[in-house]
Amino acid sequence: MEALKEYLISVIAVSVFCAIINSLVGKKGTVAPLLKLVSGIIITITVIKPFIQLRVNGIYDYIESFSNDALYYSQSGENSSAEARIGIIKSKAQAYILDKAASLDVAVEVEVVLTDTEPYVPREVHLHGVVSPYAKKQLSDYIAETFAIGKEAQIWTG
Amino acid sequence: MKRLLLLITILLLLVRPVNAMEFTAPEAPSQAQEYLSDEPQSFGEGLLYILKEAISKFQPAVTEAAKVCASLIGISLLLSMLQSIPNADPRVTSLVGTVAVATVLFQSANSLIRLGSETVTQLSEYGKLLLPVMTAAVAAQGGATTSASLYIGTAMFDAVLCHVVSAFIVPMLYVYLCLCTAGSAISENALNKLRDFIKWVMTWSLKLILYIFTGYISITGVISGTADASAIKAAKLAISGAVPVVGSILSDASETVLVSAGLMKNSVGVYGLLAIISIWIGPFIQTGAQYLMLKITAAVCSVFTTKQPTKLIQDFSGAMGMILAMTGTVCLILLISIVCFMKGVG
Repeated sequence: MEALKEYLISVIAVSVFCAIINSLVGKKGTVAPLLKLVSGIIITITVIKPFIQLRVNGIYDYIESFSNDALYYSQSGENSSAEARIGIIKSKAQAYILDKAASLDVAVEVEVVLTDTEPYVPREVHLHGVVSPYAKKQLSDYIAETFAIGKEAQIWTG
Repeated sequence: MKRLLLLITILLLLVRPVNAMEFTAPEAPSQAQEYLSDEPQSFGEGLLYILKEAISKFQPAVTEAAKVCASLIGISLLLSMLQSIPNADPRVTSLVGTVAVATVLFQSANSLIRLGSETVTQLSEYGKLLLPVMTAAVAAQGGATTSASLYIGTAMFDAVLCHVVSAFIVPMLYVYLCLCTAGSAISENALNKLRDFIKWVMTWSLKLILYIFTGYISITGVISGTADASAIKAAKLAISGAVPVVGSILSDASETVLVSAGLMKNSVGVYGLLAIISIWIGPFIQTGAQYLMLKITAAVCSVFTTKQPTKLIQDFSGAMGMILAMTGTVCLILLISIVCFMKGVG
Protein backbone atom coordinates (compact mmCIF):
# COMPACT_ATOMS: atom_id res chain seq x y z
CA MET A 1 0.00 0.00 0.00
CA GLU A 2 2.90 2.29 0.74
CA ALA A 3 4.11 1.58 -2.78
CA LEU A 4 0.71 2.54 -4.24
CA LYS A 5 0.75 5.80 -2.33
CA GLU A 6 4.28 6.56 -3.55
CA TYR A 7 3.22 5.63 -7.07
CA LEU A 8 0.26 8.03 -7.12
CA ILE A 9 2.31 10.82 -5.56
CA SER A 10 5.06 10.32 -8.15
CA VAL A 11 2.47 10.40 -10.99
CA ILE A 12 0.98 13.60 -9.55
CA ALA A 13 4.42 15.19 -9.02
CA VAL A 14 5.56 14.38 -12.56
CA SER A 15 2.25 15.63 -14.02
CA VAL A 16 2.42 18.90 -12.08
CA PHE A 17 6.09 19.38 -13.05
CA CYS A 18 5.34 18.77 -16.76
CA ALA A 19 2.29 21.06 -16.64
CA ILE A 20 4.38 23.89 -15.13
CA ILE A 21 7.21 23.45 -17.69
CA ASN A 22 4.71 23.34 -20.58
CA SER A 23 2.87 26.42 -19.36
CA LEU A 24 6.19 28.30 -18.93
CA VAL A 25 7.34 27.47 -22.47
CA GLY A 26 3.93 28.25 -23.93
CA LYS A 27 2.07 26.76 -26.88
CA LYS A 28 4.01 28.44 -29.67
CA GLY A 29 7.59 27.99 -30.92
CA THR A 30 9.65 25.01 -32.06
CA VAL A 31 10.48 23.75 -28.56
CA ALA A 32 6.84 23.51 -27.40
CA PRO A 33 5.78 20.38 -29.39
CA LEU A 34 9.07 18.65 -28.54
CA LEU A 35 8.62 19.44 -24.86
CA LYS A 36 5.05 18.14 -24.99
CA LEU A 37 6.34 14.88 -26.51
CA VAL A 38 9.06 14.52 -23.87
CA SER A 39 6.52 15.28 -21.10
CA GLY A 40 4.18 12.65 -22.52
CA ILE A 41 6.97 10.03 -22.58
CA ILE A 42 8.02 10.84 -19.00
CA ILE A 43 4.43 10.61 -17.72
CA THR A 44 3.83 7.33 -19.61
CA ILE A 45 7.01 5.79 -18.13
CA THR A 46 6.00 6.92 -14.63
CA VAL A 47 2.50 5.47 -15.06
CA ILE A 48 3.53 2.04 -16.43
CA LYS A 49 6.75 1.50 -14.43
CA PRO A 50 5.14 -0.25 -11.38
CA PHE A 51 3.17 -2.62 -13.63
CA ILE A 52 6.43 -3.83 -15.21
CA GLN A 53 8.07 -4.33 -11.79
CA LEU A 54 4.99 -5.96 -10.21
CA ARG A 55 5.74 -9.09 -8.14
CA VAL A 56 3.00 -11.11 -6.41
CA ASN A 57 5.01 -13.62 -4.36
CA GLY A 58 3.92 -12.33 -0.94
CA ILE A 59 0.21 -12.55 -1.67
CA TYR A 60 0.12 -16.37 -1.38
CA ASP A 61 1.55 -16.28 2.16
CA TYR A 62 -0.89 -13.51 3.02
CA ILE A 63 -3.94 -15.54 1.93
CA GLU A 64 -2.48 -18.71 3.49
CA SER A 65 -2.29 -17.00 6.90
CA PHE A 66 -6.04 -16.26 6.81
CA SER A 67 -6.75 -19.80 5.69
CA ASN A 68 -4.73 -21.22 8.60
CA ASP A 69 -6.50 -18.95 11.08
CA ALA A 70 -9.89 -19.97 9.66
CA LEU A 71 -9.05 -23.66 10.04
CA TYR A 72 -7.83 -23.10 13.60
CA TYR A 73 -10.99 -21.24 14.72
CA SER A 74 -13.29 -23.62 12.88
CA GLN A 75 -11.48 -26.59 14.44
CA SER A 76 -11.74 -25.07 17.92
CA GLY A 77 -15.51 -24.67 17.40
CA GLU A 78 -15.83 -28.29 16.27
CA ASN A 79 -13.73 -29.42 19.24
CA SER A 80 -15.87 -27.57 21.77
CA SER A 81 -19.00 -28.98 20.12
CA ALA A 82 -17.51 -32.49 20.29
CA GLU A 83 -16.52 -31.96 23.93
CA ALA A 84 -20.06 -30.87 24.78
CA ARG A 85 -21.53 -33.86 22.95
CA ILE A 86 -19.12 -36.26 24.65
CA GLY A 87 -20.12 -34.81 28.02
CA ILE A 88 -23.83 -35.18 27.30
CA ILE A 89 -23.51 -38.72 25.88
CA LYS A 90 -21.37 -39.83 28.85
CA SER A 91 -23.69 -38.34 31.45
CA LYS A 92 -26.82 -39.67 29.76
CA ALA A 93 -25.36 -43.17 29.42
CA GLN A 94 -24.26 -43.04 33.07
CA ALA A 95 -27.71 -41.83 34.07
CA TYR A 96 -29.34 -44.80 32.32
CA ILE A 97 -27.03 -47.22 34.15
CA LEU A 98 -27.49 -45.48 37.51
CA ASP A 99 -31.24 -45.52 37.01
CA LYS A 100 -31.16 -49.25 36.37
CA ALA A 101 -28.87 -49.75 39.39
CA ALA A 102 -31.29 -47.76 41.54
CA SER A 103 -34.19 -49.93 40.38
CA LEU A 104 -32.14 -52.96 41.52
CA ASP A 105 -31.48 -51.16 44.85
CA VAL A 106 -27.77 -51.05 44.18
CA ALA A 107 -25.41 -48.15 44.84
CA VAL A 108 -22.59 -48.00 42.31
CA GLU A 109 -20.30 -45.41 40.77
CA VAL A 110 -20.31 -45.51 37.01
CA GLU A 111 -17.92 -44.14 34.46
CA VAL A 112 -18.59 -44.63 30.77
CA VAL A 113 -15.73 -44.45 28.29
CA LEU A 114 -16.59 -43.44 24.72
CA THR A 115 -14.91 -44.20 21.41
CA ASP A 116 -12.21 -41.72 20.41
CA THR A 117 -13.80 -40.85 17.08
CA GLU A 118 -17.24 -39.79 15.83
CA PRO A 119 -20.02 -40.69 16.61
CA TYR A 120 -18.65 -41.19 20.18
CA VAL A 121 -20.52 -44.32 21.26
CA PRO A 122 -19.93 -46.00 24.65
CA ARG A 123 -17.20 -48.68 24.34
CA GLU A 124 -16.25 -49.39 27.95
CA VAL A 125 -17.81 -48.98 31.39
CA HIS A 126 -16.15 -48.81 34.80
CA LEU A 127 -18.39 -49.74 37.74
CA HIS A 128 -17.39 -49.35 41.38
CA GLY A 129 -19.42 -50.61 44.34
CA VAL A 130 -20.37 -53.62 46.43
CA VAL A 131 -22.99 -55.55 44.45
CA SER A 132 -24.65 -58.94 44.87
CA PRO A 133 -23.95 -61.51 42.10
CA TYR A 134 -27.62 -61.36 41.03
CA ALA A 135 -27.68 -57.56 40.72
CA LYS A 136 -24.29 -57.61 39.00
CA LYS A 137 -25.60 -60.05 36.37
CA GLN A 138 -28.78 -58.02 35.87
CA LEU A 139 -26.89 -54.80 35.47
CA SER A 140 -24.26 -56.40 33.25
CA ASP A 141 -26.93 -57.85 30.94
CA TYR A 142 -28.69 -54.50 30.81
CA ILE A 143 -25.46 -52.71 29.81
CA ALA A 144 -24.69 -55.33 27.18
CA GLU A 145 -28.20 -55.10 25.70
CA THR A 146 -28.71 -51.38 25.90
CA PHE A 147 -25.26 -50.08 25.01
CA ALA A 148 -23.79 -53.04 23.15
CA ILE A 149 -20.88 -53.10 25.61
CA GLY A 150 -19.65 -56.67 26.00
CA LYS A 151 -18.93 -58.14 29.41
CA GLU A 152 -15.20 -58.01 28.72
CA ALA A 153 -15.52 -54.20 28.44
CA GLN A 154 -17.37 -53.92 31.76
CA ILE A 155 -14.78 -53.35 34.44
CA TRP A 156 -16.04 -53.97 37.97
CA THR A 157 -14.13 -52.81 41.03
CA GLY A 158 -14.88 -52.66 44.77
CA MET B 1 -33.74 -39.28 50.17
CA LYS B 2 -31.34 -41.64 48.46
CA ARG B 3 -33.26 -41.27 45.19
CA LEU B 4 -33.32 -37.50 45.57
CA LEU B 5 -29.54 -37.41 45.99
CA LEU B 6 -29.21 -39.66 42.96
CA LEU B 7 -31.45 -37.35 40.95
CA ILE B 8 -29.40 -34.29 41.97
CA THR B 9 -26.18 -36.11 40.99
CA ILE B 10 -27.66 -36.99 37.59
CA LEU B 11 -28.85 -33.41 37.04
CA LEU B 12 -25.42 -32.06 37.95
CA LEU B 13 -23.82 -34.48 35.52
CA LEU B 14 -26.23 -33.31 32.83
CA VAL B 15 -25.61 -29.62 33.49
CA ARG B 16 -21.79 -29.67 33.46
CA PRO B 17 -21.02 -30.53 29.83
CA VAL B 18 -23.26 -27.87 28.26
CA ASN B 19 -21.29 -25.19 30.11
CA ALA B 20 -18.12 -26.48 28.44
CA MET B 21 -19.21 -24.86 25.14
CA GLU B 22 -19.45 -21.12 25.58
CA PHE B 23 -19.24 -18.40 22.96
CA THR B 24 -19.28 -14.85 24.23
CA ALA B 25 -19.12 -11.69 22.16
CA PRO B 26 -16.13 -9.41 22.78
CA GLU B 27 -17.03 -6.23 24.63
CA ALA B 28 -17.59 -3.14 22.49
CA PRO B 29 -15.01 -0.33 22.82
CA SER B 30 -15.66 2.32 25.51
CA GLN B 31 -16.75 5.01 22.99
CA ALA B 32 -19.40 2.66 21.60
CA GLN B 33 -20.70 1.66 25.05
CA GLU B 34 -22.76 4.85 25.39
CA TYR B 35 -24.90 3.74 22.43
CA LEU B 36 -25.50 0.25 23.84
CA SER B 37 -28.22 -0.51 26.33
CA ASP B 38 -27.09 -2.17 29.60
CA GLU B 39 -30.03 -4.57 29.63
CA PRO B 40 -30.17 -7.66 27.41
CA GLN B 41 -32.25 -6.89 24.34
CA SER B 42 -33.41 -8.03 20.93
CA PHE B 43 -31.82 -6.63 17.79
CA GLY B 44 -34.78 -4.31 17.13
CA GLU B 45 -34.75 -2.87 20.65
CA GLY B 46 -30.99 -2.48 20.57
CA LEU B 47 -31.11 -0.70 17.22
CA LEU B 48 -33.85 1.60 18.46
CA TYR B 49 -31.78 2.47 21.53
CA ILE B 50 -28.75 3.24 19.33
CA LEU B 51 -30.88 5.45 17.06
CA LYS B 52 -32.34 7.31 20.06
CA GLU B 53 -28.84 7.97 21.43
CA ALA B 54 -27.59 8.98 17.98
CA ILE B 55 -30.47 11.43 17.45
CA SER B 56 -29.73 13.02 20.83
CA LYS B 57 -26.13 13.57 19.69
CA PHE B 58 -27.10 14.90 16.24
CA GLN B 59 -28.08 18.34 17.54
CA PRO B 60 -24.67 19.14 19.14
CA ALA B 61 -22.90 17.84 16.01
CA VAL B 62 -25.01 20.11 13.78
CA THR B 63 -24.34 23.07 16.11
CA GLU B 64 -20.60 22.40 15.88
CA ALA B 65 -20.75 22.15 12.09
CA ALA B 66 -22.95 25.26 11.92
CA LYS B 67 -20.20 27.32 13.59
CA VAL B 68 -17.81 26.44 10.75
CA CYS B 69 -20.52 27.14 8.18
CA ALA B 70 -21.31 30.53 9.76
CA SER B 71 -17.63 31.46 9.33
CA LEU B 72 -17.79 30.37 5.67
CA ILE B 73 -20.94 32.42 5.04
CA GLY B 74 -19.21 35.38 6.72
CA ILE B 75 -16.20 34.97 4.42
CA SER B 76 -18.50 34.76 1.39
CA LEU B 77 -20.24 37.99 2.42
CA LEU B 78 -16.88 39.75 2.77
CA LEU B 79 -15.79 38.42 -0.62
CA SER B 80 -19.04 39.63 -2.12
CA MET B 81 -18.34 43.09 -0.70
CA LEU B 82 -14.77 42.94 -2.02
CA GLN B 83 -16.06 42.08 -5.49
CA SER B 84 -18.35 45.09 -5.49
CA ILE B 85 -15.34 47.46 -5.13
CA PRO B 86 -14.74 49.10 -8.50
CA ASN B 87 -11.58 47.95 -10.37
CA ALA B 88 -11.11 45.00 -7.96
CA ASP B 89 -9.13 42.19 -9.62
CA PRO B 90 -11.38 39.05 -9.64
CA ARG B 91 -8.28 36.81 -9.48
CA VAL B 92 -7.20 38.42 -6.22
CA THR B 93 -10.71 38.07 -4.79
CA SER B 94 -10.77 34.45 -5.80
CA LEU B 95 -7.32 33.78 -4.30
CA VAL B 96 -8.16 35.54 -1.03
CA GLY B 97 -11.48 33.69 -0.86
CA THR B 98 -9.84 30.33 -1.46
CA VAL B 99 -7.19 30.91 1.21
CA ALA B 100 -9.81 32.05 3.75
CA VAL B 101 -12.16 29.12 3.03
CA ALA B 102 -9.30 26.58 3.11
CA THR B 103 -8.02 27.99 6.43
CA VAL B 104 -11.43 27.56 8.05
CA LEU B 105 -12.13 24.12 6.58
CA PHE B 106 -8.74 22.40 6.88
CA GLN B 107 -8.88 22.20 10.68
CA SER B 108 -12.28 20.53 10.85
CA ALA B 109 -11.49 18.34 7.83
CA ASN B 110 -8.27 17.18 9.48
CA SER B 111 -10.02 16.19 12.71
CA LEU B 112 -12.79 14.38 10.80
CA ILE B 113 -10.30 12.50 8.60
CA ARG B 114 -8.52 11.34 11.77
CA LEU B 115 -11.84 10.38 13.33
CA GLY B 116 -12.74 8.39 10.22
CA SER B 117 -9.38 6.64 10.21
CA GLU B 118 -9.70 5.77 13.92
CA THR B 119 -13.23 4.46 13.36
CA VAL B 120 -12.02 2.18 10.57
CA THR B 121 -9.25 0.87 12.86
CA GLN B 122 -11.72 0.33 15.72
CA LEU B 123 -14.18 -1.48 13.48
CA SER B 124 -11.43 -3.66 12.10
CA GLU B 125 -10.03 -4.45 15.56
CA TYR B 126 -13.48 -5.33 16.85
CA GLY B 127 -14.02 -7.51 13.78
CA LYS B 128 -10.77 -9.34 14.54
CA LEU B 129 -12.14 -10.23 17.98
CA LEU B 130 -15.68 -11.06 16.90
CA LEU B 131 -14.98 -13.12 13.77
CA PRO B 132 -13.12 -16.00 15.54
CA VAL B 133 -16.03 -16.34 18.02
CA MET B 134 -18.59 -16.42 15.21
CA THR B 135 -16.43 -18.88 13.22
CA ALA B 136 -16.17 -21.25 16.19
CA ALA B 137 -19.92 -20.94 16.93
CA VAL B 138 -20.91 -21.74 13.33
CA ALA B 139 -18.43 -24.65 13.25
CA ALA B 140 -19.92 -25.96 16.51
CA GLN B 141 -23.31 -25.88 14.81
CA GLY B 142 -22.00 -28.11 12.05
CA GLY B 143 -21.01 -25.43 9.57
CA ALA B 144 -17.24 -25.99 9.51
CA THR B 145 -16.86 -25.30 5.77
CA THR B 146 -19.17 -22.27 5.82
CA SER B 147 -17.50 -20.75 8.86
CA ALA B 148 -13.98 -21.23 7.48
CA SER B 149 -14.80 -19.72 4.09
CA LEU B 150 -16.71 -16.82 5.67
CA TYR B 151 -13.81 -16.15 8.04
CA ILE B 152 -11.23 -16.19 5.25
CA GLY B 153 -13.29 -13.80 3.11
CA THR B 154 -14.22 -11.36 5.84
CA ALA B 155 -10.85 -11.29 7.61
CA MET B 156 -8.98 -10.87 4.34
CA PHE B 157 -11.23 -8.14 2.91
CA ASP B 158 -11.36 -6.39 6.27
CA ALA B 159 -7.55 -6.41 6.55
CA VAL B 160 -7.15 -5.25 2.95
CA LEU B 161 -9.73 -2.51 3.38
CA CYS B 162 -8.23 -1.32 6.66
CA HIS B 163 -4.81 -1.22 5.00
CA VAL B 164 -6.19 0.59 1.93
CA VAL B 165 -7.85 3.18 4.15
CA SER B 166 -4.91 3.85 6.48
CA ALA B 167 -2.11 3.68 3.94
CA PHE B 168 -3.81 4.97 0.81
CA ILE B 169 -7.19 6.70 1.16
CA VAL B 170 -6.33 8.84 4.21
CA PRO B 171 -3.07 10.23 2.71
CA MET B 172 -4.82 10.63 -0.64
CA LEU B 173 -7.62 12.60 1.02
CA TYR B 174 -5.02 15.15 2.15
CA VAL B 175 -3.53 15.22 -1.38
CA TYR B 176 -7.07 15.63 -2.75
CA LEU B 177 -7.80 18.58 -0.43
CA CYS B 178 -4.46 20.21 -1.32
CA LEU B 179 -5.20 19.81 -5.03
CA CYS B 180 -8.71 21.23 -4.53
CA THR B 181 -7.26 24.27 -2.78
CA ALA B 182 -4.46 24.75 -5.33
CA GLY B 183 -6.87 24.25 -8.23
CA SER B 184 -9.29 26.75 -6.73
CA ALA B 185 -6.52 29.30 -6.06
CA ILE B 186 -4.89 29.32 -9.50
CA SER B 187 -7.75 27.85 -11.59
CA GLU B 188 -5.36 25.38 -13.25
CA ASN B 189 -7.18 22.79 -15.34
CA ALA B 190 -4.47 20.13 -14.94
CA LEU B 191 -4.78 20.26 -11.14
CA ASN B 192 -8.55 19.91 -11.36
CA LYS B 193 -8.15 16.87 -13.59
CA LEU B 194 -5.73 15.33 -11.10
CA ARG B 195 -8.18 16.08 -8.28
CA ASP B 196 -10.95 14.29 -10.17
CA PHE B 197 -8.64 11.39 -10.91
CA ILE B 198 -7.72 10.96 -7.22
CA LYS B 199 -11.37 11.08 -6.22
CA TRP B 200 -12.16 8.47 -8.87
CA VAL B 201 -9.35 6.18 -7.64
CA MET B 202 -10.47 6.48 -4.00
CA THR B 203 -14.14 5.89 -4.82
CA TRP B 204 -13.43 2.94 -7.07
CA SER B 205 -10.99 1.26 -4.71
CA LEU B 206 -13.75 1.21 -2.05
CA LYS B 207 -16.42 0.13 -4.54
CA LEU B 208 -14.21 -2.59 -5.99
CA ILE B 209 -13.44 -4.11 -2.59
CA LEU B 210 -17.14 -4.08 -1.68
CA TYR B 211 -18.18 -5.63 -5.02
CA ILE B 212 -15.60 -8.42 -4.81
CA PHE B 213 -16.48 -9.10 -1.17
CA THR B 214 -20.22 -9.29 -1.93
CA GLY B 215 -19.55 -11.62 -4.85
CA TYR B 216 -17.29 -13.84 -2.73
CA ILE B 217 -19.83 -14.04 0.11
CA SER B 218 -22.68 -14.87 -2.29
CA ILE B 219 -20.78 -17.67 -4.01
CA THR B 220 -19.20 -19.27 -0.93
CA GLY B 221 -22.49 -18.97 0.98
CA VAL B 222 -24.23 -21.20 -1.56
CA ILE B 223 -21.41 -23.72 -2.09
CA SER B 224 -20.17 -24.25 1.47
CA GLY B 225 -23.71 -24.08 2.91
CA THR B 226 -24.77 -27.00 0.72
CA ALA B 227 -21.64 -28.99 1.68
CA ASP B 228 -22.29 -28.50 5.40
CA ALA B 229 -26.00 -29.35 5.09
CA SER B 230 -25.06 -32.63 3.35
CA ALA B 231 -22.48 -33.43 6.06
CA ILE B 232 -25.08 -32.89 8.81
CA LYS B 233 -27.57 -35.09 6.96
CA ALA B 234 -24.95 -37.84 6.63
CA ALA B 235 -24.13 -37.60 10.36
CA LYS B 236 -27.85 -37.90 11.24
CA LEU B 237 -28.14 -41.01 9.05
CA ALA B 238 -25.12 -42.55 10.79
CA ILE B 239 -26.67 -41.88 14.21
CA SER B 240 -30.02 -43.35 13.22
CA GLY B 241 -28.23 -46.61 12.33
CA ALA B 242 -26.88 -47.07 15.89
CA VAL B 243 -28.35 -49.23 18.72
CA PRO B 244 -31.81 -47.72 19.70
CA VAL B 245 -30.95 -46.31 23.14
CA VAL B 246 -27.44 -45.25 22.09
CA GLY B 247 -28.90 -43.75 18.92
CA SER B 248 -31.40 -41.70 20.88
CA ILE B 249 -28.66 -40.53 23.29
CA LEU B 250 -26.44 -39.50 20.35
CA SER B 251 -29.34 -37.80 18.62
CA ASP B 252 -30.33 -35.90 21.80
CA ALA B 253 -26.73 -34.86 22.41
CA SER B 254 -26.36 -33.60 18.83
CA GLU B 255 -29.65 -31.72 18.98
CA THR B 256 -28.81 -30.16 22.35
CA VAL B 257 -25.39 -29.02 21.12
CA LEU B 258 -26.78 -27.72 17.81
CA VAL B 259 -29.57 -25.79 19.53
CA SER B 260 -27.32 -24.34 22.25
CA ALA B 261 -24.61 -23.45 19.70
CA GLY B 262 -27.29 -21.79 17.55
CA LEU B 263 -28.62 -19.79 20.48
CA MET B 264 -25.15 -18.66 21.52
CA LYS B 265 -24.23 -17.85 17.92
CA ASN B 266 -27.34 -15.71 17.52
CA SER B 267 -26.85 -13.83 20.79
CA VAL B 268 -23.16 -13.21 19.95
CA GLY B 269 -24.20 -12.14 16.44
CA VAL B 270 -26.89 -9.73 17.66
CA TYR B 271 -24.52 -8.15 20.18
CA GLY B 272 -21.80 -8.01 17.51
CA LEU B 273 -24.13 -6.29 15.03
CA LEU B 274 -25.18 -3.73 17.64
CA ALA B 275 -21.58 -3.18 18.74
CA ILE B 276 -20.44 -2.61 15.14
CA ILE B 277 -23.28 -0.15 14.50
CA SER B 278 -22.56 1.66 17.77
CA ILE B 279 -18.85 2.02 16.88
CA TRP B 280 -19.79 3.45 13.48
CA ILE B 281 -22.77 5.67 14.38
CA GLY B 282 -20.95 8.32 16.48
CA PRO B 283 -18.40 9.29 13.80
CA PHE B 284 -21.16 8.96 11.16
CA ILE B 285 -23.27 11.55 12.99
CA GLN B 286 -20.33 13.96 13.32
CA THR B 287 -19.13 13.60 9.73
CA GLY B 288 -22.66 13.44 8.35
CA ALA B 289 -23.61 16.69 10.09
CA GLN B 290 -20.52 18.39 8.66
CA TYR B 291 -21.25 16.95 5.19
CA LEU B 292 -24.85 18.13 5.28
CA MET B 293 -23.99 21.60 6.57
CA LEU B 294 -21.24 22.07 3.97
CA LYS B 295 -23.67 21.11 1.18
CA ILE B 296 -26.17 23.69 2.47
CA THR B 297 -23.42 26.31 2.89
CA ALA B 298 -22.17 25.72 -0.66
CA ALA B 299 -25.71 26.24 -1.95
CA VAL B 300 -26.15 29.42 0.10
CA CYS B 301 -22.71 30.82 -0.81
CA SER B 302 -23.24 30.20 -4.54
CA VAL B 303 -25.91 32.91 -4.44
CA PHE B 304 -23.59 35.78 -3.53
CA THR B 305 -19.95 34.85 -4.01
CA THR B 306 -17.46 33.89 -6.73
CA LYS B 307 -17.31 30.44 -8.26
CA GLN B 308 -13.98 29.20 -6.83
CA PRO B 309 -14.65 29.44 -3.06
CA THR B 310 -18.06 27.81 -3.54
CA LYS B 311 -16.46 25.00 -5.53
CA LEU B 312 -13.89 24.57 -2.77
CA ILE B 313 -16.63 24.20 -0.15
CA GLN B 314 -18.26 21.57 -2.39
CA ASP B 315 -14.92 19.76 -2.71
CA PHE B 316 -14.51 19.71 1.07
CA SER B 317 -18.02 18.30 1.40
CA GLY B 318 -16.93 15.69 -1.16
CA ALA B 319 -14.04 14.78 1.15
CA MET B 320 -16.52 14.40 4.02
CA GLY B 321 -18.54 12.12 1.76
CA MET B 322 -15.39 10.08 1.16
CA ILE B 323 -14.88 9.69 4.94
CA LEU B 324 -18.50 8.54 5.25
CA ALA B 325 -17.93 6.08 2.41
CA MET B 326 -14.78 4.55 3.89
CA THR B 327 -16.24 4.07 7.39
CA GLY B 328 -19.52 2.87 5.85
CA THR B 329 -17.75 0.31 3.66
CA VAL B 330 -15.86 -1.26 6.58
CA CYS B 331 -19.04 -1.28 8.66
CA LEU B 332 -21.06 -2.82 5.81
CA ILE B 333 -18.50 -5.57 5.19
CA LEU B 334 -18.63 -6.57 8.86
CA LEU B 335 -22.43 -6.37 9.03
CA ILE B 336 -22.90 -8.50 5.89
CA SER B 337 -20.41 -11.00 7.21
CA ILE B 338 -22.02 -11.28 10.66
CA VAL B 339 -25.47 -11.71 9.08
CA CYS B 340 -24.04 -14.51 6.90
CA PHE B 341 -22.48 -16.13 9.98
CA MET B 342 -25.86 -15.88 11.76
CA LYS B 343 -27.61 -17.46 8.80
CA GLY B 344 -25.12 -20.29 9.29
CA VAL B 345 -25.59 -23.62 7.61
CA GLY B 346 -27.77 -23.31 4.51
